Amino acid sequence: MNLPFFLLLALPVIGAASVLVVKKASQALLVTLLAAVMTSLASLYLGALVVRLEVIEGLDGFFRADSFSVWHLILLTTAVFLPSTGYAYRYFEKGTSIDLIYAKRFGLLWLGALAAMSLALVTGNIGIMWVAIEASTLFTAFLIFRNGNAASVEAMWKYIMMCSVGVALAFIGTLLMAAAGQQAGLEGGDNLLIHKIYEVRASLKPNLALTAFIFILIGYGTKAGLAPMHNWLPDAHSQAPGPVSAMFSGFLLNTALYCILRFFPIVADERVAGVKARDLLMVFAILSIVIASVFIFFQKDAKRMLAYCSVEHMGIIAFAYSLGPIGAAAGLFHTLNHSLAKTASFFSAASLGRNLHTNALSAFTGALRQYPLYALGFAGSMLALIGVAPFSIFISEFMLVSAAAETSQYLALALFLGATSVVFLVMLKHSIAIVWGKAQAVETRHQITLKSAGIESLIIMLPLLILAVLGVWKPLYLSRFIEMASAALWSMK
Amino acid sequence: MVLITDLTLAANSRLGTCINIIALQGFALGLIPVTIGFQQGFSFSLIAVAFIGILLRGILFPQILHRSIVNAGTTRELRPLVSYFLSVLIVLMLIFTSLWISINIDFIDSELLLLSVVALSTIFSGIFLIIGRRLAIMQIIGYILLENGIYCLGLAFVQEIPMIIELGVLFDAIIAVFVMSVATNKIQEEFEHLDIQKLDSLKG
Repeated sequence: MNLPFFLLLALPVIGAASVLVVKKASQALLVTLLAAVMTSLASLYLGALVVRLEVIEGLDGFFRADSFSVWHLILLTTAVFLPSTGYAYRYFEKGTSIDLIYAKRFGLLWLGALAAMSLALVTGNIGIMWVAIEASTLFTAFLIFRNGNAASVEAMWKYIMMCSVGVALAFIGTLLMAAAGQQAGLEGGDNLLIHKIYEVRASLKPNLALTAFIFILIGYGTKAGLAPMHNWLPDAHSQAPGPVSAMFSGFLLNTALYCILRFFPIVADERVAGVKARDLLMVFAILSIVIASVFIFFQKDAKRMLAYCSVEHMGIIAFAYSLGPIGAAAGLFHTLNHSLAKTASFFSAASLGRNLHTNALSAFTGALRQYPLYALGFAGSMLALIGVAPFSIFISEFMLVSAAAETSQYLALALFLGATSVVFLVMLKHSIAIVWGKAQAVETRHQITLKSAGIESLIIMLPLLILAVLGVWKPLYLSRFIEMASAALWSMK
Repeated sequence: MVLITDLTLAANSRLGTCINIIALQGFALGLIPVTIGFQQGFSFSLIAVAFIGILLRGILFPQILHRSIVNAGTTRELRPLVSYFLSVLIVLMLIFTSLWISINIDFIDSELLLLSVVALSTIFSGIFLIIGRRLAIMQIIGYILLENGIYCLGLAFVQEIPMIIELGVLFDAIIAVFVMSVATNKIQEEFEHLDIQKLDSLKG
């Protein structure tokens, strides 16, 4: 069963190669878009196979896809990467606002990042997982950079340095885990296969496995934006072009978190580290939520606020998983909700910021009159992000709260509720200001209406619509797939 | 050998010399698999990894770095955050800490003890250089040091790493160094210096 995997990885690579030979900036963006569509189709194909066969392996466990990885894969390629590519096509004005070299560089790095992150999601080998994550750091670094912009260089440097060093620590963790597997009797490269390590988890040395997990948590946690290793994130998100910020928030962070979660069931087993590992993940999760809420409270820049909001939501997802199998469904559902809402919010915030020539939140006041689509999109996605009903984040956060209450994690629950209420109030205030506030200087009404925005209105409004529908009606096959994925994570079948 | 290079790196201010030292360390690291080969017999993958390792760490990394200091026009780190004398003391302390940690890890064979000390102290000094130096290029050197240390750690803890992963890691490292050096060129263009301490406009 190697074909679906090769298809998934070859399509972006072919796309990246063809970006290099095109002659016009617009063609480069179109090729990128086409490659993103094809890769999404390939991930759907892989998903369909997994639904039928549960687990697919290829090349002796080099490739391994179960419903947990496919859930992330489909979500991140189809619901995050594809809209972001479509938005990039609009953002660069079909290639008219950028030169050929920039367009080629963008397409190459963009698709390279896609290939690397997809590989991280469908490999069963923890060494390859590390190689893929590090490669994705390197591909995405120059996406942040814009010519002649000193702040973007600063953000890029922080990103490269922090994430390379962080991910290097994750490699130490990977090596330690492999050493633990080797001592538990795995031979000949099997000590790098995640499901083989899972099988022998009872005979792992607890201390060694826990040390390995600490390194992995801190290492990949840097890239997933968990506090206190999140410092690179607001800079990178605020300086990068709009589509790149959306892809970072929706895709890159989730992929890194996915890598942590793959190791989590091994060490969270009672015979390995048990409660210690769960507490460890929970501490980082709660810390992220609390720190992010403080920074959101004082935030004046729209994109930085969304970046801290990502830190908060990564914390929420990690919190859900740290509760054990009971919270996994909430975590999986929240990943879907957060990715949809976050991409929509970044698209509309970037478009607003671009038209108003500033990202300051105060300048967005009363934007509804001038830019109805973007203002509605931004305000709506902020409401979705803070968990207003009927948007489905309300449901997933409710699931999380009940799971936390069931496992009697009252302290963590109280901190979580306190911090999210702060975020709730602050972001509610901002969205009210955008919709009903009085604009400082009302210029002539801008000509961007739903019709002229075309594809843009689709990629901003569709996710919000889906979120609203999911909030009132959760399709049966979705719940069943979530159950399957959570079982795949915790029993690794 | 590798330990001495760690120490000299901490003590040196000339970027050119530092790069040559890191090249020397690269060669030394490339030879470690060869010495293992003498003890346990050679295999094709062992030789291939050693050869590629020497090629990349000993020759390619230093080349990239030399090019970026020529572009940047800086030849020495004048005001490090931590003075050179203190740096040497700190690295010495780090070496002793690594020795202490390695002795306390129960599962290491005694013959690999030295390798583990080397690995840990190189990792620590790499991180120390990244934190304690102002120039972007010294941070890259710190990163290479960190990578080298992790490579040693892999040799000490896990003997059976498939070649493809070994190569993937090396390949990532080389691209990382390349991307970082391109980034330093951009910093040079935008700020006209390589002092990372002055990159502090993004806050909050």
